[in-house]
Amino acid sequence: MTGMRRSLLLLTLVLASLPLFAGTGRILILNVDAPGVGFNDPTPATPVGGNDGVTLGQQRLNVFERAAYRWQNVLDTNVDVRIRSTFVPLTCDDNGVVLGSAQTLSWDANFPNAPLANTWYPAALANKLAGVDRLPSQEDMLLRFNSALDTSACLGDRSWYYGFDGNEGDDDALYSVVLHEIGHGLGFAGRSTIDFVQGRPSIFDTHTFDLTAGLRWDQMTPPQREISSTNTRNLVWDGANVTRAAATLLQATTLLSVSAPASIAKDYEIGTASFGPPANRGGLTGRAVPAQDAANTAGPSNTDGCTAFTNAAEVSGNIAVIDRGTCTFVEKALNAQTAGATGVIVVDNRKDTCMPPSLGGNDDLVTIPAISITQDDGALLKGQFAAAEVRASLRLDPSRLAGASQQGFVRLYAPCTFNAGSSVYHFDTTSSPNLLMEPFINADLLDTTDLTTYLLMDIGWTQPARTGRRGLRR
Amino acid sequence: MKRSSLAIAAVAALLTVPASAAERATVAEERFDLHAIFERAPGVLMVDERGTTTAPGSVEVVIARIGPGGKLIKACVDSEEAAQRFFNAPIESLHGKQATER
Repeated sequence: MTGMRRSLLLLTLVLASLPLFAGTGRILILNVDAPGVGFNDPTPATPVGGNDGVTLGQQRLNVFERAAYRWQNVLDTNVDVRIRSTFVPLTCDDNGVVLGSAQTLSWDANFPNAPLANTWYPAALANKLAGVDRLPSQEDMLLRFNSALDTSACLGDRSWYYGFDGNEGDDDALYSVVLHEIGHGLGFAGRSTIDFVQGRPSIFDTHTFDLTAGLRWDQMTPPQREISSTNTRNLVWDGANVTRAAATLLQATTLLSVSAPASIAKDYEIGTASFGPPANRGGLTGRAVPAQDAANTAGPSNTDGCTAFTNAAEVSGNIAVIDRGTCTFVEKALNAQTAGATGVIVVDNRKDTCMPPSLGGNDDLVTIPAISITQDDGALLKGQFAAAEVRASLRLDPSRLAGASQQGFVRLYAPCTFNAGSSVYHFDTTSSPNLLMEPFINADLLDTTDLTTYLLMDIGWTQPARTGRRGLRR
Repeated sequence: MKRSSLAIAAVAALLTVPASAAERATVAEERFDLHAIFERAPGVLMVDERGTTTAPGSVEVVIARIGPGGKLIKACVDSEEAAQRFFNAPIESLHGKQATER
């Protein structure tokens, strides 16, 4: 073989190893607004938080284009992803506001190079996998955002924040919401939740796994999927990329360990507090004691901890167990602290919150850790107080990830209060740190595609060759 | 015109979302209510040698209310019913990831 032939063969092998048409596609924002409105609103604006637009419309467009570029930077596509985008007045009244929406404009199955037969793929992903725009006359997704938020008639003084620096204050940062919604459009969504269209699952359903049933959603009947939709903590994503990345990106979780009596001895999931010392740093270990206080106007029950404890002597040096309700979490913690408690366990008072709530509030005077547990778990503890000493401690379990199952699968959002309409197409809210695709789009998200990138890889997207499998980015 | 081209053209026409049909730049600004946002084209199915294509699927919608303490509470939902539940819930029961009420 001549040197030239060898070189040609080598070149052929190298090219064959590259993804088909790698990296030539873009993620495009197609502004479809009329002149003078939406993205074309000429109202003068002052550059803010890294957004150098000098009109309202330009700032809006800058945010959309930056979000599109952010996704383009972490996902490889050989076909342009075209996002039909509009900034128009949407619902906004005394009840609330629609901030924005995303919709995949078509779903495809059994196209050339489709990895799975009889499975729906969102248009953008189907195009990438097929290597061609299968429906050139149609954009791949629609983004529709609310321009009314920038008027005083909608939410008063609050408006969109168009900066990229997290300084939105009471306003709402547009960037993270757009990133979230594009994530849905790229495939973090299903074709339908319970009843499959034409009996076919979407590619998302093929990785939606119910730990209790031991089945993926594409293996279930509609009634089984309906039950699975509310199987809190047990509905997970089984894709290998997400599972692998979660081990690096998610933090270890803290569990409440009850060691006695034996009948309730186990690890309990907890909610953490935004005040006081970290839950896993000293203090919260020993005997759990139900706090007692007067039933009065400050708190109608004698277990809500809203006033000074009447059994302070018993609580002192131990962990106070207090019911949620009436007064703030901080007030409960301060009353427990005054009584000499080493820590606080708040028992949820709501049956519909199947996960222990995170405790909000802020007060530097709180020096003992506070956590929450579910109402059901609280009932287990309370059922033992009269007959036995309940021994408990907090334990950081490095093998358990916040937002993942014991097996390491990242949880999907399956609140026990689900009924048709609640979206399972989100990561669960037990995740820590907060993830882009949680349903509440938390305010601390700045410029992250976190585990979402890996979920999209699990359904068929690839990372750009120029970045390869680069490190996790937040 | 080839049959497949006709089929694709038909799909393109059928896939147009009714509520968004007026969004081309030549049309004036239009206000969408909650129902219109969730409105979608019927599940048209078109099969040809290039595969199967259907009309839009679920819509993911981010909604918000002012919650206890004056904070903006957001939620992402995929049906009008879920949105109405969020909008009609007692204000004290609203919370995001972190419970801010009692």
